[in-house]
Amino acid sequence: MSQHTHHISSPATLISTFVALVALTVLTCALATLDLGEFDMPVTLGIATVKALLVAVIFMQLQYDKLFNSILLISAAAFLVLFIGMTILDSKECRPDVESYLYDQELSAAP
Amino acid sequence: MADAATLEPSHTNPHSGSHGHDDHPEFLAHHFEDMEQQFEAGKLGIWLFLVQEVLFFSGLFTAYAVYRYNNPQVFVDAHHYLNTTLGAINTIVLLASSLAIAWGVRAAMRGDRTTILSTHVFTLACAAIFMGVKAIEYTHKWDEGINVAGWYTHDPTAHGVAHGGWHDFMPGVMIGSLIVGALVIAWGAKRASGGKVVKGWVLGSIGVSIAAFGLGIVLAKCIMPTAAELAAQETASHGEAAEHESPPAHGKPGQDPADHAKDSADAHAEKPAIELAADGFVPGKPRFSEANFFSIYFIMTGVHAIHIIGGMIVITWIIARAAAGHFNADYYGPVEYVALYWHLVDLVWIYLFPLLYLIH
Repeated sequence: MSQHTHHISSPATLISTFVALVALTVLTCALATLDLGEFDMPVTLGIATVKALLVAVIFMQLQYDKLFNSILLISAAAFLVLFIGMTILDSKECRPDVESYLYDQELSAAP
Repeated sequence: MADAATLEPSHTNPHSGSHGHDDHPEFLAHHFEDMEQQFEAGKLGIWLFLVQEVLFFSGLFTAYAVYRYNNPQVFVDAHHYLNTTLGAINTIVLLASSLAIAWGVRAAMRGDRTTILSTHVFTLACAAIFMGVKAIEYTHKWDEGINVAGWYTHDPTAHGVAHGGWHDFMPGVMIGSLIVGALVIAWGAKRASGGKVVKGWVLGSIGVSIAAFGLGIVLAKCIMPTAAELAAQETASHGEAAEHESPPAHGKPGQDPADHAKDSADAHAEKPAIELAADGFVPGKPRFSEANFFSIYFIMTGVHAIHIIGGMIVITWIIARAAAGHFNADYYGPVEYVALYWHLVDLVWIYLFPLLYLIH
């Protein structure tokens, strides 16, 4: 690429990222043996997200890449969150209706 | 744009001489102005594909999220059948493969053919170990009758005693793949030394994949408890599960069966609440059972495993092209695109592992 040079990751960066990823994996396994109550899910997903960011920013080189590629990934993640969030909200909203429908079905099936 | 001048960029490729190319970059497609434009177009293309992959998996994650939100206790109970150690080992194996392929991209940027080849073969080996471990996880479950809903014949009172035939079959697969893998590696080495470098490396890669699959089985067999140990573990974990049953998991609203009954009763006040609790949805017969959890488990990990296999195929393609000496500091796009895909497969597993194996 004669126009501008592409960033080449240094061995130290790559290896320290890998060590951090393994350390976070061990940490999340260790935390799974404890009961964190309602913080359990946020902590687990938080660690997973830190790992995902390490992979995306350093291994996938988003750090030195065009901003547009980062925007693409972020928008995909945003739509994923939107999809899950809306579906859960919808499921929560419709749950009583679904249950009463299933209840009626059962009543008519086995009076 | 289409005149001949654009096909022959003024700058000459410093590496072309050593690879026997002429002054026109060998892998510059005619519809691109120069190598840089071609590289950036390819990179945008692969990122758009990765976005599509994220959205594709989002459907599966949504199914997971909605069912877990509505049936937390089933997820807590069912995940005791998953071996966390194997899941953690597979995570680390995939992370190592990601490191290796990132190293391979670095080597490609530096025009270091030998390192591209070795890192990519290592990545393939990690992928195959992952698949070997998965094979043991899957067959253990099938032997116990744990399968997707509709084929779920698991008997919790059997306490891990397998009734399927896979466990008789797997040692043969293990030994077979180690032997066949070693033979194919030897064949590849012979071809490579006989002047057929590309064919030799491709055969070697396939051999490494087969042998590493066997190694993965060995690894998983060493860690996976035997039927007797499994029985003890299962009784212990079931006791644990029973202890945890009293508080509704994580205290999120609307997850207690009684709450649901109440909601329904509120919505249809004409129906007596007692009747709902008696033959309503959760207490009597669960509509979402462990079989449904394992449908989600098998589909999510299975689709991920298909991505691993696809990745292994394209990595072998990269090895073939690297062996042919196609890549240099000016042309390494395919190496980077495949690496980006491989990192995304790793990313998906980074979320799958805690969501499936570390529930409580």
